[in-house]
Amino acid sequence: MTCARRAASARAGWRIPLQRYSLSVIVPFLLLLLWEAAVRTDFFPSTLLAAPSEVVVKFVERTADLSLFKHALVSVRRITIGFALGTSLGIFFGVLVGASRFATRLVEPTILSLIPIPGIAWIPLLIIVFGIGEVSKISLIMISGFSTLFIPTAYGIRTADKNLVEVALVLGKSQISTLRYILLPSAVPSILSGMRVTMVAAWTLMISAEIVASSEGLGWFVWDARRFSRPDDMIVGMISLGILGKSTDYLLVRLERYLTRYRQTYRDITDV
Amino acid sequence: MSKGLAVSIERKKFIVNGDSLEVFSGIRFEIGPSEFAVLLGPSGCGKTTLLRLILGLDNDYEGTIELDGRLISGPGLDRGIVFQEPRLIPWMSVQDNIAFALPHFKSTGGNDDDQVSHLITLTGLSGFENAWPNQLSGGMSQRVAIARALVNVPNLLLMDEPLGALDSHTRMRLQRELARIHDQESITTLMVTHDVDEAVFLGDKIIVLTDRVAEISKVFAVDLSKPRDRVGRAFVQLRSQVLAVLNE
Repeated sequence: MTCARRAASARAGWRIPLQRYSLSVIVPFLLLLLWEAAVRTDFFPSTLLAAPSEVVVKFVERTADLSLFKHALVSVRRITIGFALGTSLGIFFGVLVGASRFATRLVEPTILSLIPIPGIAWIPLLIIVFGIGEVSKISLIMISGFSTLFIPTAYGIRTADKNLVEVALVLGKSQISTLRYILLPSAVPSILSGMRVTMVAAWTLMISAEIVASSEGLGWFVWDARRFSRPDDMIVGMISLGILGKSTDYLLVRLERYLTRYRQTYRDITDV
Repeated sequence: MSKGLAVSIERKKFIVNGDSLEVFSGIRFEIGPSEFAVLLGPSGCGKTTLLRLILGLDNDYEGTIELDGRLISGPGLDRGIVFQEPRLIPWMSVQDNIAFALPHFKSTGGNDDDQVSHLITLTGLSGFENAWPNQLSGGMSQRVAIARALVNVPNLLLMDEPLGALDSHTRMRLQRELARIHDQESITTLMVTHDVDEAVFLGDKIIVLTDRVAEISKVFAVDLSKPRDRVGRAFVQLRSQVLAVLNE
């Protein structure tokens, strides 16, 4: 579609949002209907899969008795600490390596040879070193955050506009000022898209860690429900994870839009 | 101690693919205090290279460049520069872009000091203080770049084809503005251009360079009163003389 037509349809969408959303609702509604029917007619036995209506009831129940909150809180705490530590470290070393040749020679080869190790492969080692407590889960998320953020940060710094760096040079700015006002802001868009990828990986890894070794958290909640044939709880847990994952992504999208509000991009004319 | 800019370059070479390429030999000129000098020459003759030497971005040449009697050895706030592209910092407002040139720039605001607001008024940017660079037209962006170059009250203002990328209407308007700003601030100025009209309109002195290896082919002292009349007889006469030298 051409830009003009795309923009035109976006405008039309604003004028009649009802039509726009009602169209998007059709497919999920049909899927839910099919699913409900499949369970009701015993096509899927109710011990294996819960019907949507049962899931809704269970969701309200688990919310009311606060057990959903309890597990969600445990998971969110792990994610928050691990994500904060991992992204900070990734950005710190990314900036260092991006800005300094000395740091590049000193640490980049080591970091680049550790990054290809998939997060899940760290789990056994982390359990041996830190045990099955919080530290091993948080450090797993941290390692993955670090690995995902290091490259985009260093890349963002290295690809900063040479002309702007020259402006700072001509104005006699110190290296710290150049980093603070030119290089780091240049890296912000790639750092933030890196953070979104990191967040997805963080949820995945945390659930894996909770499945392997935990007695609380949403990952454990889902897995425990499966083990004891509570399909309704299992899906309630899955939905909670979906909502939380979407929320964290939404927060990062808002943050990115705020930090890059100075520029006009494709999405500003297309409403994507 | 002599005031103004004194350039005396014996030789400047570039190494291109292992061969040494001579850019200029024997370039000598002076610009007096408050003088508006224009460096005119065919594209590729080394005008931008000369500006980089005066800026102190390149010290690899034989000769000396002195500003107010002091030898230039590196970048410094005694020289302000306007590049051909505005080179504004996209994530800073107009006001912060201008204030960024100040040595005590703070990102946390408080940059609306007297000098910054004076320049915003001087360059006709009032009302645009908080705009983002991408909301500005080419002409407006270049005004911000000019304000940024002037905010530290430099002893020398350097401009590298600052109006080269603008449409002819905006260009003529900004030429009038530059003449007015120079008249008000009387800062010694060196402007590089390849536009003869612009040179005759703005310059107190026009230095015409030859094609490479660049040498000075002629220096015109422009004795016309300002503001200049682009269609006046003296203007047109001088314009054709400069053009003739340039095309030699």
